[in-house]
Amino acid sequence: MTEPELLAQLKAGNKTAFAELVYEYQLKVINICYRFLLNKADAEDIAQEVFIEVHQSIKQFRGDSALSTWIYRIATTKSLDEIKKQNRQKRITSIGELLGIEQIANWVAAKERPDKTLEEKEGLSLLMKALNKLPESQRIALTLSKVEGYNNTKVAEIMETTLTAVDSLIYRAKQNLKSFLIK
Amino acid sequence: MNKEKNILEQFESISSIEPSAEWNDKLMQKLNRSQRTSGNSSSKKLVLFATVVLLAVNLFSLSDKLKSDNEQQSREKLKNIANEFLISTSSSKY
Repeated sequence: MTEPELLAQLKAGNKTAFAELVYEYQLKVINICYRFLLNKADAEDIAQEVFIEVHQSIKQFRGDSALSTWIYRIATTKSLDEIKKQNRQKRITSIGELLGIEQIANWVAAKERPDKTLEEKEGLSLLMKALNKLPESQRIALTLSKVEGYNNTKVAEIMETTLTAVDSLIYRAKQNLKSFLIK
Repeated sequence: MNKEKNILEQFESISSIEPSAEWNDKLMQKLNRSQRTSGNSSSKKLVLFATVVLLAVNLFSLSDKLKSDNEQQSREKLKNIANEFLISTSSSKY
């Protein structure tokens, strides 16, 4: 099925077309989310939300960009929203710990990554902290550029910017990350 | 310095993941749930719209009634004033 055909079928609410879309894009979407969230379970959850959003909004998709670009843009936005949500939860935990409220600390501890070694957890936590300090556009450019099979042109397409801007964002992101990690 | 380098290398070398076996089933469950919720929300919107229309109609008829009551009252007041005036003018003739 070509993309316009798939799109027409999706807009008509065809379930088989939606299953085909999921099959085609699930791996890429999960891995975009994983690059941002650095946690498999969270990445899988958010990827599911991405497809739900696609299903709900496909009728509004006007075709200004490629379908894939639109889907990856949703994946990026959803991942960033999740990061913001997690950061809010961490702030609540810190307040909970300060106030000595055990339940809140336990609740967040339960959400932490049980599949990683302590060293990996420390590394990931440091990396997350450094990534959180980056301006959003730098973080998006750097993260997407690390998704397998992506070149900076694709990143520019998703971010709706120029290739030069993406190159510069990635360069500055790397410099900033280094300086944040050294501090 | 080594630690920072390791962390950056770790970030660079994150490999792709594969979805777990139950990922598709979970997606379908979530999708069905969201469709039910959106179905509920559209019927809720319809009920809300109908309520607003009914309220607007009621308010309109109430204000219409008040207006006609006011007109009636003013007419009666005017009538009374006219009557009093007529009485007083007729009485002044004597």
